[in-house]
Amino acid sequence: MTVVNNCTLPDDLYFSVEDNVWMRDLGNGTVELGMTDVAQTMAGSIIHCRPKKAGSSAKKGKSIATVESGKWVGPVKAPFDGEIVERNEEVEKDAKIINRSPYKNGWIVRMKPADPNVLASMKKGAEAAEGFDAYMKANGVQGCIHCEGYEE
Amino acid sequence: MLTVRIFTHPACAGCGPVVKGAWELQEAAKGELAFHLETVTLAEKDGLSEAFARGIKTIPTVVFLDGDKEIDRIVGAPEPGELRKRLTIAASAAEQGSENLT
Repeated sequence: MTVVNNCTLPDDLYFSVEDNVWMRDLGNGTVELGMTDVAQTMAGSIIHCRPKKAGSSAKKGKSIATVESGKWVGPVKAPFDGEIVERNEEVEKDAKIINRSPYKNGWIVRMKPADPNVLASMKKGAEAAEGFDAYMKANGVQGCIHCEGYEE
Repeated sequence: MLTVRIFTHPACAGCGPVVKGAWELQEAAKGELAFHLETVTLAEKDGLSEAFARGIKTIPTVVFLDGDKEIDRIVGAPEPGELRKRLTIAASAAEQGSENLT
């Protein structure tokens, strides 16, 4: 586990710092995506999450879900072109799962990338940490503080 | 006098019961256990800044203070018995600190 300003970045995941999104290679040509610890911290208490439906296409930089928190409403952006093959219905029922478990139960969609090798261009570990450190400084985010029971 | 600061956030399910427990303890122990009780919400910028300044990484966190001096802290939600025990020890330490000053 890589930690930057108390924000966790699991070592098995890939990250898009600019989109504040993580990616997990599921090994079957699909990729699981969700909000990073940094993103859920910046959003605050998440009230609603509406992922796009399976079968929808997503372009890099366009929305794969809409998230509403106590202080922010906005999109979760796709870090690559592809098709949404599954959405997490559990986060639609209880969006706070994203606050509690951003990297496990709080996944948002699963996508099939248009380019099967797209993850090779994403950041991991220390390289991602460096990017997030700069991102947090630029956005005035001091760091992450977790509720007891937070799942890394 | 001892000051108890509880660091919380509206998204933290475990925080509310700790605040409630501390308020109840304060009411029940009036006269025998004197302390100021304050909540610090991390939903506000000042609260967040204080939490970082104190090195708090998990909420709820209960910080026991004698003036500016930290006597003890509990990270996570304590059982009511544990909260009372630690409060009693911290209040006694704060009282002794005050006596030493006079």
